[in-house]
Amino acid sequence: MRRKIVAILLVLVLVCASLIGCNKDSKETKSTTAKSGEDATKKDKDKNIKMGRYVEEKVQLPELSTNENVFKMIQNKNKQIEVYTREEKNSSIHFYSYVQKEPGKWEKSTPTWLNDGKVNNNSVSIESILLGKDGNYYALYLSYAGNTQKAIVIKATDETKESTMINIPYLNQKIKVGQQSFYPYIRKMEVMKNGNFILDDGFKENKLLVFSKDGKKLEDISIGGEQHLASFDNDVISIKEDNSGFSFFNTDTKKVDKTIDYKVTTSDMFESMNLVYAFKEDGTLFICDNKGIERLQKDGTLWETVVDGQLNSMSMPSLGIDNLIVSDNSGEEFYVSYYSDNNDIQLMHYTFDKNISSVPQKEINVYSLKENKTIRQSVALYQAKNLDVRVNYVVGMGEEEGNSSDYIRALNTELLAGNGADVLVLDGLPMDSYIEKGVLSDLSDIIKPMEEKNGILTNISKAFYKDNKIYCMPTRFTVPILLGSKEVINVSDSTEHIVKYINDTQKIYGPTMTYAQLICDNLALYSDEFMSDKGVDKTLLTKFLTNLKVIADNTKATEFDESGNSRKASKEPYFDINNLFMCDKYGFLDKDYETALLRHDSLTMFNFTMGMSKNRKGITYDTINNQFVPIGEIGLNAASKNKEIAKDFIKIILSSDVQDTNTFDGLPVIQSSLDKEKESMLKAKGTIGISSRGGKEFSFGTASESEINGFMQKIKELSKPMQVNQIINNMILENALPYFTGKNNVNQAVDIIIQKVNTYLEE
Amino acid sequence: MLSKLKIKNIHLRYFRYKKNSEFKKALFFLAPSLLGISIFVLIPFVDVIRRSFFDAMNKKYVGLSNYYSILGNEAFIKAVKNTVRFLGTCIPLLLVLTLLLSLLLYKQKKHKEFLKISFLLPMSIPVASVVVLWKLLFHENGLINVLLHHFHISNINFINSGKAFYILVFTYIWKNAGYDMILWLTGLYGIDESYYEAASVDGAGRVAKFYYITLPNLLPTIFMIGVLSFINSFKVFREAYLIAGDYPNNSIYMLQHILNNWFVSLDIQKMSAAAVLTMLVFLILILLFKLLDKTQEE
Repeated sequence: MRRKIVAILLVLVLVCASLIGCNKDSKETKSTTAKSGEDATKKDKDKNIKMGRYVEEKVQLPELSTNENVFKMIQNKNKQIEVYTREEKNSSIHFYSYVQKEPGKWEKSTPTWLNDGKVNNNSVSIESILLGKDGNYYALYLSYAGNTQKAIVIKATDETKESTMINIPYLNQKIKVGQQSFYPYIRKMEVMKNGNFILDDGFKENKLLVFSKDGKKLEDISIGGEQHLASFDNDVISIKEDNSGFSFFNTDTKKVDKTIDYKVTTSDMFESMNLVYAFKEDGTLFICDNKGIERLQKDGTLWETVVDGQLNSMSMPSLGIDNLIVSDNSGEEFYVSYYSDNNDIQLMHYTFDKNISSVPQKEINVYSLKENKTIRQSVALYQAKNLDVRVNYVVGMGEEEGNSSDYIRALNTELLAGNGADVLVLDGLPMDSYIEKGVLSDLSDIIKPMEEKNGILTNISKAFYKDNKIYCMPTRFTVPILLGSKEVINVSDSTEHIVKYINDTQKIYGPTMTYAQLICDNLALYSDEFMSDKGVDKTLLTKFLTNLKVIADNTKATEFDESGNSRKASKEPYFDINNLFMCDKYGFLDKDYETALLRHDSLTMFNFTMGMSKNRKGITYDTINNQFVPIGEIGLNAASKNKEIAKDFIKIILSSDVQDTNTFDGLPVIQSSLDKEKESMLKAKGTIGISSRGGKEFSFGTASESEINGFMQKIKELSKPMQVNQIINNMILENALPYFTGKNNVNQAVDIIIQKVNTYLEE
Repeated sequence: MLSKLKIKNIHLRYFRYKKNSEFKKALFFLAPSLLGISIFVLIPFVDVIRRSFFDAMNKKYVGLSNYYSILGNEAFIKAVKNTVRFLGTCIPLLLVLTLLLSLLLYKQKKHKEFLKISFLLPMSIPVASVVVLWKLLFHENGLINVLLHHFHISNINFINSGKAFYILVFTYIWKNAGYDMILWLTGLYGIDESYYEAASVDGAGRVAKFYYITLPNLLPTIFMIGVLSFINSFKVFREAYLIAGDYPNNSIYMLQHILNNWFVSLDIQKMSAAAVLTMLVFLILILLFKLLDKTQEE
């Protein structure tokens, strides 16, 4: 009996122990590398849905004159939102400030302290205006007088009627950088309650400099990367050296008071920490980044998400976060200023709306193997317009490098179970297989009306029709443009003609690349020479590789990237459609070689192309066999349970709201966005200066309207998408390299490739 | 007084009762494990059998067309041939080699434990480490080719040629030799010494003792070692995949490769049919083994 009791007790212990691991951890934040079909929101089992959420509202900026731009937003002494503008008129500069008295109403004034001649001249660039913690206004600007760049700090005095220069001796001392000397390059500044200055000098990596109010250097603080500074009382808050959180440096005790863990994110677009801080009077710290606005109570250790960045502009890749203001009227409200790539400032207001559900009730899932900026932009835009829908964007590979097959298998598991994301970004996925097996729905009801309205570029969309149905549509595309003489462009339609040209003229055809780059670029352009629906032809493949070897020898291709110019060395060669046509082009101006292949992922790139062609006699440009590279091909999951919402989302991606924004991942697929880009190109007058490989300086203006129209006509003639079979191309790349490096001959290489390709095709 | 028959019946009933209650107890303790295996293995496999009669997305019933399709698929036939060739080469070789090793070790008096551990070590080496080591040795710029180059012999392409098969065979035998050797030793220790003594008295030599005493007594062990070696032979796919990728040289393109690739391209219907066919073949083989084993026992 005793034994029985002991046995039963042991079983109970076992069962309880195994159930302990089943509790839900509510503190974990959602991972964007979760399964594509995972329902991330927990449906409230109670009938009452929790209400209340912060919503975004765009703040109507004051009406500005033609050459006036907003460059800074701050909170003034009266806790009001104040924006500063800069106007360039008749070669003179004027600064104005606008204070928001009530929503939509701004009061203009002319801050005399900024218009007294120190800052408002053409040889000055204002970096920052701020209200210091000591209650005074400060401005940091860079003076370019005398061909040097010098940072100067001024303080508003006499109730902002005048300005006084702050004498910081450190700013007048040159620093030796390499062979030259420069004045400190102050990127950011903060003023503490006791009047001390904190400066971020661009020449002092990972350090913040603390100065007393009379300019005396006090100490250096070790920090992480580029900083958005903040201070509260005597503490300086900065990102830790390993970027894993924040440290609070007490300037009195000269020690780090505390550190807080936080995962700091970087913006791909702006290559900087996309993060700003703000403090409330009670010491509560707020951080605003791509994830949203998070709050940390004074002396607390737990971060609370106040505003979810996934549901608004904070997660938009096209916007950088400039400043965060917390106002505490009737509950916390936030103002966030954003800047875009052309430095335009946008202002958003976040208020708590108790009439909206705290979590959107509807949800769709979007899946892509790798991060796609256009999709990320669309997600933010769609959610801002549709408050009741959450778009859960899942990036399969996330920040991890790995074998894409593993991620595809995970996705396929969900698709087979009838789940999977509602919208799939098909780049890198077995698209043909999905279409063949009916995984994807027909998009004709979305695409055809857009074609009829003259929205979508029909030459792009028509390339994706199969039996009058369209299952995938690229959201962007890039165009490889070949620069060269007419003669060399005419021969660039096939590798055979290129080899004939090389043999006849003995000229160097193109720039030096690695073998891997050469093979990848030529595979993308000329794989039709040996590949057909039936498979790979052995004789034609042998001919292709032999031709490539001739081109490689002619251009002096190397095994490894010795110049440091190419983006990736060929240590682990891998065919990646996003890394095509990235070879050197600057030697073209020195006439080192006869062609330059330029990847156009925006219309503005054409300025560069025209400039290059004009700086060398007899040069023109053209597409290669009317080919383009489709980017961000989207498809609709046939098993989606939210088809209508998913279709709406696809429409947003292909609308001008998204296509107008330049996310630097390709040209827009709609005509109106291309036209807008052309208009802004024509407005932006300027000179582009480049140095050739040989050190010669070249400069050229922007392209003319007729030239841009010519290029746009070429875009309309594109008809052939570069449909890359990643598996076959990787087989060819991996097994052709030993031939190029002399480890085997072409027949051996071809035999291995054919054997593998045949196995793949037999499957 | 109870009659003898009644006593016998009581004993029988008690025995049946005890057997039933023991059976119930056993079931109770086995239940969690059975449940887990049912949920994660048996039920999914029943689903695989079901999927083999439907199209890829499980919408349309297609009967036996998936089976016809894979039996006519050249890549599948190639994979099956290579798998059979691999099994046919490795398993007999492994059994013979490890039997020899165990016989030698059985007689060994000095450093016996040390030698056992040495043979077992390869089994504990992680797959990734083995792959790194093999790449260091067999890569076109690896140690062996560098040595060959030093002696003015041209490079050998180990990974992308027929030699990859032999590397895989070597890997399998190297990894599993220790394990099989221990199993053989267990069988050898189970043979009564008195048989050998009696044989010695009768004037039997070593070969005769091996043939008439050792081998017959090891036959039950052969079945177990055979099955385990068979199962372990499929694990060598990990090394093959990590060294040579999704599409290796033809000589080592095996069943797991094609199933893996079918999964990526969403050809689940073919994968399911292939899995069912493979299962049937293995079942027949194992039943044959079992029959042979029983016949031998009898």
